[in-house]
Amino acid sequence: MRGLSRELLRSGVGRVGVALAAILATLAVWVLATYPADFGPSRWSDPSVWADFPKAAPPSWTALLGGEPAQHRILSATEPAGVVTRGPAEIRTYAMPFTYRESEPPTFLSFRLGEVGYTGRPPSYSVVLVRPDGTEVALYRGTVNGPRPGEEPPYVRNADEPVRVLLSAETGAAEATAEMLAKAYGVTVDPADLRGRPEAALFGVPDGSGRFTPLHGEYRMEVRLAVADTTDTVSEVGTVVGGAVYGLAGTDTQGRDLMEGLLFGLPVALLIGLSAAIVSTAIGTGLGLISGFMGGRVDLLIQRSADIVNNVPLLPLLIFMVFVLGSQLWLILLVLVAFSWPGLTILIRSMILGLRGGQEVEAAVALGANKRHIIRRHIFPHTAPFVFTQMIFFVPAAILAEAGLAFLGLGDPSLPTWGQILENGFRTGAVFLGYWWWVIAPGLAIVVTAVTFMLLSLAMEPIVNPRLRRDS
Amino acid sequence: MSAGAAAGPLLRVEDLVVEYATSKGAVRAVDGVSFTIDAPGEALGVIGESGSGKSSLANAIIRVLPRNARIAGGRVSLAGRDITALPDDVFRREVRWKGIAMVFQGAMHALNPVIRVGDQATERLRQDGVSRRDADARLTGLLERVGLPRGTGERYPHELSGGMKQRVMIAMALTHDPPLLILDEPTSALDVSIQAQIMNLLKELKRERGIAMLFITHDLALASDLCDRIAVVYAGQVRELGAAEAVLADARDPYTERLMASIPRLRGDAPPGFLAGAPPDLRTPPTGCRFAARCPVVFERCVEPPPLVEVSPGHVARCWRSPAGSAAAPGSAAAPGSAAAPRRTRADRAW
Amino acid sequence: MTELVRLEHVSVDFHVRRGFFASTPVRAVRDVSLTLERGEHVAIVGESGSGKTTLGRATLRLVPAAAGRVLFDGTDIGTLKGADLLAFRRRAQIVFQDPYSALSPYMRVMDLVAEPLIVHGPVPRSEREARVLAALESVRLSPASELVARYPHTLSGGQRQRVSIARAMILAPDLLVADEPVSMIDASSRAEILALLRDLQTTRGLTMLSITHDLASARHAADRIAVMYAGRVVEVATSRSLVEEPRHPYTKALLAAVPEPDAANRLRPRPVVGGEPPSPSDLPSGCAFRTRCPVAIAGVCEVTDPPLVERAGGGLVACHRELDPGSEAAQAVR
Repeated sequence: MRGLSRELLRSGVGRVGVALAAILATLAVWVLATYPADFGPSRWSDPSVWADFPKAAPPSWTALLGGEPAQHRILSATEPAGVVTRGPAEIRTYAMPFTYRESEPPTFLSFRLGEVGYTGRPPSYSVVLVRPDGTEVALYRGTVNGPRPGEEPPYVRNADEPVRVLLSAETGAAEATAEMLAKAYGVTVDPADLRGRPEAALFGVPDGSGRFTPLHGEYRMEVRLAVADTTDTVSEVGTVVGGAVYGLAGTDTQGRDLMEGLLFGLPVALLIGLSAAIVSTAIGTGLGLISGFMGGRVDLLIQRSADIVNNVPLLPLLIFMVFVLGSQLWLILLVLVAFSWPGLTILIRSMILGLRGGQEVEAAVALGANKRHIIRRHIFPHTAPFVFTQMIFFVPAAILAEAGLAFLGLGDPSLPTWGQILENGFRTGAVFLGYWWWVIAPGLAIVVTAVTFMLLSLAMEPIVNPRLRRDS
Repeated sequence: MSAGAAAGPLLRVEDLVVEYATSKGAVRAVDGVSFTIDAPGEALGVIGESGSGKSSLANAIIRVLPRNARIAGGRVSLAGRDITALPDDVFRREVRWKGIAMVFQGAMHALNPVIRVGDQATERLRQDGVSRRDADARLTGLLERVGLPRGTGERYPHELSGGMKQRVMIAMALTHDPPLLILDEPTSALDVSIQAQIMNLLKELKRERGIAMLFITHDLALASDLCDRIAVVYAGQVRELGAAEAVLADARDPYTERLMASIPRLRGDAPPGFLAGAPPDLRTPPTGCRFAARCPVVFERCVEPPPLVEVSPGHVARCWRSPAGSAAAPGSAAAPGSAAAPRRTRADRAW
Repeated sequence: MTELVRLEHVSVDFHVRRGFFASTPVRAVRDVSLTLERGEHVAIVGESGSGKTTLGRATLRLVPAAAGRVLFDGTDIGTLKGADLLAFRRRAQIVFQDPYSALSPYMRVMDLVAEPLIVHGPVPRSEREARVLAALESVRLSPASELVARYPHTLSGGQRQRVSIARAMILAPDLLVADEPVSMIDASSRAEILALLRDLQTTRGLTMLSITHDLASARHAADRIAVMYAGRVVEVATSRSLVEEPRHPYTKALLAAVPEPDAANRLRPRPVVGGEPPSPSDLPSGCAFRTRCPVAIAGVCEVTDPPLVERAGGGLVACHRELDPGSEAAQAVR
């Protein structure tokens, strides 16, 4: 093993491979430590987690390439900034300030109301955007759902899921915006034009030609909540000022932060690769050893089985099995392993036959060594480096196989592997819609990981090739 | 190139230096070797153990040195023409195989197993534009001359024995009728009776075609079976050079003398002597005589490197003691088994 | 009993694959009988196809005898099993031809030379180390303490061969088979290794069977020489008698083929026999040498294989020309 690490670090290729592998390993460990084990179902596949995220947003670093796309802001307030009491009732004013300086308007505005508890009349609220020029636009008015027939106080609403309102789509918001423009700037705009995209107007001043120049400065989203009873509770109000970009890897059409998915995919990919490689190598080597040593009918049986299995077309078989038994990761791994051992078996067997006929083994026999000693000291050391290198080389093959399967739609859909992310992207038409980040990032991740292992096995080649080894 | 009656020697090697670049520094495998092969039909034997530089010497002459080696000094002339200065393509076209051909060590293993022997042997001829029919006819004649049965050209290498393959290599070397043939241990992998057959063949070729030969081997006795003159090399230098009669019967260099003594003789009861130790590491060559560490008659002067001196006409040796008298009788020198003998003087008159 | 090894009508086959499933046996050694006295050194000399290497291996039961038996110290080694077989292996060792492939590149010199101790052990580690150092000193590899930590590929061919010898000798065997021990070593280092083997033999009373193609070295190293051709022994005698008065035409041819360092050699062709040694799968009928023999008798040599008979000067020879005209064997031939 010492020779192995020395050999690895000797070449430039080896050093790069080791460095990459170290980075990947560290990241994988970090992910395993920080992410929940059921990340797939509990987070990735749960739309409520991503409700406030921009959909199909490119990564935020694309802002460096030009333009000033709107930032994505998720704001919330749990305590009111101001409270005005009128007898038993209260008006609570929640303030969520933010600064807007981009040249592109936000992509959407939404409002979120958390868990509300009340005893008498349901609270009502209004959502108001306060602009730096002093104008206000009352974007939305609403009331919490009233008591249902037969329900007893205290009444609790929005306990499982906050109520979300897409302000940009509301007719009332469009009308209020038009009203503000007419009053403050004397510009007449048809609310029908604004509906769906009032942000340019909300965050800008009219320039006279029908367009708006961005209004930079301090904004504030206020929620004025009127409760009938001061004991009424509101857990949280929130707003999302939608951005055009998000995160390191962007988001997909469901708003999922692709970086999270990619990071989670790393230990999954490594796990798939290493477990398939280790098990497959163990089986292949074991059978090869038995075949080489037992000879006769056992050898014949194993070799012919290897020939048959080797020639089975893996992909159609996998498709068939997934179709019949459902797509689960362990099944895919099982099939991968079950059909990749023959190559190593055939190789190991011929190595062993060669060694057995060679002078080293003959010398050991002449010394009186028994089979176990010969295998341990004269066979195994010759095969071990080779086996190890083959194992390392198999890792990217397994990762690619799984990714390929997922891409074809045969993967485990609850598990966000890189192949799955790619498959989602393609299915959603990311290529046609220009969502390049959705496709390139997971593809790159697969490539980098595969290349890391390939570099490692390339660097270890001198160990396998004795002629290169003799010159030290 | 035809071997006419040249005014000067056919092959002249002057102060040839061959250097290998290794990870641990430059190594001079051949360090200033000079010799000539004079008349057509003369055979010069180069005797040395492994690491002496003898193969590097041959490879340098015909320019098949590995990539990390180069001719770092000296000159090689063929029929008066300086061939070391020639550019590679000219050398390949005009000198290699036409002027000098070579039979390598283990050449039988250099045959491509999936191509018929005849096709491989005529490769150079056809490259030079000779038609297939003419080339095949030429080869058939050569194969017959080297003693192979008819139809050998149609066979694949694995169908031939070691001796037969070696004969093919010799025929292949003769396709362009070169005036000089270099043979590097041509018989080392062969049975002794086959070796004798091949040596007889070489003797005949030498006599009837007037081919000059540079014969490289570690076996002095084998060299005597062919060579008119003998050069003994050690650690990259020539230690003795002269007519075969002179070198074999009257060796003046202690290394040569020890080599002779280590040959087991069939007749007579005297067991062969041997030479303990190993040649010096050429990465850091010794400053004095390179054989001093193993020499049975080393003395104080040996810290100074001895030059080649003429001990009799046409016979040179590299030893401070050599002009003083003839070589010691076999068996008179150091006790066998003394590795790295400490320096001591011998007032022995035998030396 | 002064006899240590006795080969009685030993024949050895190896199997050549013919077609997909079948294989035919080819007889590499044909009906060889030979004895080795204790402390004696016998050299088996032959060329390719002579079967000498196979015979050497059969003597140690590294290949099975298809016919006949090999007796070691009175016991048929073909019947040995288990602990008895292990005991035999302890007493009979071999040094191989190729110093590069017999030693594992993954083991250091210490492990290699100590391996027999471990296999036949148990020997405590401190004692193992001491014995390894002593074994290395005995083959004149020094400084032994520095060499034990090295890997074989850092050593020269001659040094590796000494390691092999040390490994074979560390258990003080009674019999050592040396299979062409110096053929892959530089000519200038050969004499030293052969001298070493000779010393070991005389100082330890070792019985040696060496296999070689070098008649000249065999003449000085061995007490007796057996010449093999195409799987049979054709002549066996004391070294001096064989070399100075050879009786078999093949022996004569071999002797003539060995060059002595004489400058006059180049002026005359060396007497040789034409042709090549036959392949064991395709032997001529009768005497296998008859196709190349300069004195083959038509009508006799192709009919029967000559038996080994007493030879002038002691020993045995198998040649129709050597059969005493009045003897039964000669009558049988006619």
